[in-house]
Amino acid sequence: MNQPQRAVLHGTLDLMVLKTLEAMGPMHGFGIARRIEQVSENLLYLNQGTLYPALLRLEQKGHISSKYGPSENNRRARYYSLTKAGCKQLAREKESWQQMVAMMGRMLEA
Amino acid sequence: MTLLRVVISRLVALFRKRRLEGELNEDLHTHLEMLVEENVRKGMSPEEANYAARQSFGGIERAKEIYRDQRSFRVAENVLQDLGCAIRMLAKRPGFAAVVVLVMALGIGANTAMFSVVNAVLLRPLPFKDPGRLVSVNGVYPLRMILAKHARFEWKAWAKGTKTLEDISVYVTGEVNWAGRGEPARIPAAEVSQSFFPMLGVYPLRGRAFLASEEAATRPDAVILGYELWKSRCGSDARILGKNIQLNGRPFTVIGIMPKGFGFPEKSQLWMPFPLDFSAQMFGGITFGDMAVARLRPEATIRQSASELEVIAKSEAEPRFSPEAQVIPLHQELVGNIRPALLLLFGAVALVLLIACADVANLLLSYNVARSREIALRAALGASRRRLVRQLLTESILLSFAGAGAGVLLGWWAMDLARILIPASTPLIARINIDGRVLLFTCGVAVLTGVIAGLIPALRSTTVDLTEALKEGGVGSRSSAGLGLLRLRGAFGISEIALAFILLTGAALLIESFARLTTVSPGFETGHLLTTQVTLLGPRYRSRSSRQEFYDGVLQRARILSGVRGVAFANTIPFAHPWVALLLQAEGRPAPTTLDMEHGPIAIYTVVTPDYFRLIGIPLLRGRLFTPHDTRSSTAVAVISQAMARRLWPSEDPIGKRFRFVGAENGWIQVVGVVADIRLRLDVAPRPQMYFPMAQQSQDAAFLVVRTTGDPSTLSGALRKIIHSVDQDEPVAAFRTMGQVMSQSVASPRFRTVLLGVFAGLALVLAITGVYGIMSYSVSQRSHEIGIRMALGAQKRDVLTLVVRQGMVLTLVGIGIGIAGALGLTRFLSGMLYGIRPTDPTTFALVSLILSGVALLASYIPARRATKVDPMVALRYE
Repeated sequence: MNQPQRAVLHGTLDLMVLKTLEAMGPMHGFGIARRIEQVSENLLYLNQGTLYPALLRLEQKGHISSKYGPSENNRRARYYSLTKAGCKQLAREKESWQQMVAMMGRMLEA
Repeated sequence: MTLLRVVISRLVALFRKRRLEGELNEDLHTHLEMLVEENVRKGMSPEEANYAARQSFGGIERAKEIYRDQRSFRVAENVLQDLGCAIRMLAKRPGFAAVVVLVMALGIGANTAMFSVVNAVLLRPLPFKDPGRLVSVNGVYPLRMILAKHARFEWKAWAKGTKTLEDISVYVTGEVNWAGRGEPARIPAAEVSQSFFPMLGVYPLRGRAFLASEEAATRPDAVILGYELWKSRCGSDARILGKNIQLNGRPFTVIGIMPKGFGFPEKSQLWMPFPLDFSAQMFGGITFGDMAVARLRPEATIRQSASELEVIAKSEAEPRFSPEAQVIPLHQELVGNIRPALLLLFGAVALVLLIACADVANLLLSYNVARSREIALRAALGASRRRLVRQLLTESILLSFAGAGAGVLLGWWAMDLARILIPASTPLIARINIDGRVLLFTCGVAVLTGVIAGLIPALRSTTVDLTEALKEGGVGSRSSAGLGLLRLRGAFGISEIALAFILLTGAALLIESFARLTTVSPGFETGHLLTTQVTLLGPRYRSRSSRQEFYDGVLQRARILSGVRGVAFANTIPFAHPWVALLLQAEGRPAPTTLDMEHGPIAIYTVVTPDYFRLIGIPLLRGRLFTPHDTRSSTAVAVISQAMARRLWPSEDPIGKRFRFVGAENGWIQVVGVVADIRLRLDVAPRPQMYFPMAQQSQDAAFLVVRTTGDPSTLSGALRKIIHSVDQDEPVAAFRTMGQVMSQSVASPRFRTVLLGVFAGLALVLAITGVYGIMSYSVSQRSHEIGIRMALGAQKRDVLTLVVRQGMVLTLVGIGIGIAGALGLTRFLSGMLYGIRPTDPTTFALVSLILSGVALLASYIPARRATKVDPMVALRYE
């Protein structure tokens, strides 16, 4: 690790979770955390415990749903999956995020 | 939409907390295990793997806390937790909980019932369109009072000239005779002008309201039925619309049926167009005269309206008497009479609730003392004082809500009592009920009661000295904290006594006043008298002689009925409204130009058949009574009361003097006799009264008065038959004994007396229970001290004195404060008292005596128990 790890930017965790579930299909909390860390190429420091309140928040909003199922090692684990509303939400947030990035880009280049 | 989902899922979580908590633990546990496994696969030792897993997971408890905050509403969760805890604590002491709930139920129940009455009568708006702008317009127009039947209200001029009122609708109330479709009956009715229903915004359920043409008709023949009358008399048959019914012997066409519950004005059930032609009026005898209801324009004020109407009236009226106009909000006009009594009772019932609060506070204090170790333990384990106070308040509020639940049931029952007692003439009482607003009030009272009763005990009980409290048996009763507690309890006891004293004094004053009122001698013999009313209107009774025939026929047949000592007719009888007073001019003196009820030449107009005086028992003082020779063709004569003689001819012999009515064309009337005064109202000194023979002043309505030898009520059937044998279509009002008539005339004072009496009784019971509780507790706490005293040689007498003295000091201080409070508060009663001052010393002394007597008893019982303390046991108890 030569580059310093970054903490998760406030408000981006929900988007990451949604994107992960879209890419991976139903997944348990551990898998989601692992995937986020892998994709960030370990640049992101995720306090894995904070994932759970985020998952709960998304579930309360109806963006994801969950049910118990066997894990790879036949452990009982809670699998989260994207709902229809979640798909739409992801699309919306993706777009607004890209606009934001583009805008910030222009801002910084100018 | 999303927000709603979140709220719902959080609310659901509130009730699935245990399960969700389990799932959370499981999920986090699984996650950690996966982390550990992965680390082991990477080649770490189990310890290393565990450590690394925890590190990358972050604080588990912190994550859980954040998760819990997200999951549900923490405040609500805590409240539920406190509630659960409170229920478990109280379930352990069902006896204590039951007593507290009972006390609360009494206090809250009484308040709920009283509020339901206040709500129905005073608070809820009138059931009309935009009722806030409806006003009652009253012409204090002297001529109307002087000769009710011949002076018309100035409403036409007002309606034409007003700019402050949208419209004026005039009405007059009375009773009409309905023959056919069952027994002939007298139905409360109103003649209303055409704008009446549109102004109130109430329209017939079926059919239609009046047309302007119907009002303009010289002899209106359309009628609208009330829903309740339609149901009882026509069996809710809609085919009655368009059919004829016989009212006062004339056919009327039913054009409409009003919606359920509508009975305005004066509980009317029949409405007819207001006749422009006075002779077509449907009501016989004396009426309250023309009344008017109007709608104030939004931009106008009541005061502007009143002065405007006065200006209009002055330009129109006979200039001799100054006309005045009264414009009063309709609601106020309707309930003005009962309002002070209702507010008084509502205040009284609030005091009862305060006593109940003090009672409960006391109970909670001893309850909390008994569990001071548990409280100390919680504090030692880290519960903040806030948290502890909240827990204790939750308990007291829980108790008061249980009390409120029981109280609503009690209130339901008490409401029936109030319904029976409240004077039947009070408007709007049909809507007395427990509605949403009453329940909201009850809930508010429950919370308030819980806080008031619980706060001081909760604050007091959570300032425990931990080390002291946790020591075995260290309840602290013998420490200085214990003394402070006793003092606090004493303060509660004193306030209970003081409040009870105030209520008892108020009740005692009203009771004494009511007793004096009902034992006032009205000046005649009230026993064995039976009365009813007849109205002789319609085609059959158009002539004077036909009415005379009816009266004579009934008198002749009734006189010979067995059990009857005498019969007479009179246009007015004592204690039955309304009367009419006429302005008079004595011969040889100028006609009066002002209207002075108290000193002017005014007397109440009474027309009787000759036997009336002997029958009722009014003694003749000078001159003679009427004889059958006083007829239409002989000299017009009058018998006057002593008060009238004094008013008109203070220093002369009135016999042979002549007088006449002001404003009417009647000739001079000669005074032939003077009789003793009688009271027409129990609480009003006799007023000047004049009597005329029925043969000379024919009446279209009269009271039949019968003196019986035995129980008067047994004769009503026979008398009804006699009336129907003279005219089979003549309805007869319900027969009432004079006792019943008098009783109804004091319905208002009886209502407030009985209710305040009930509240005071409740207050007494609660306060005495409070004193008893304090003394018993004090004795149990002092048993150690008492044991020592007895071991040192104190006699039973000494112990008895010791305890009783403590109770009596409490009581006397309470009474002292109560006297001060009562002196300040009973003046609100002054308008309701008869023959007694609000600061009557005898009453105050009597109440003090009763209260100290009962308190003595309440402290004597625990004192007796104190004397039974076995010194050995008491000392070993340490």
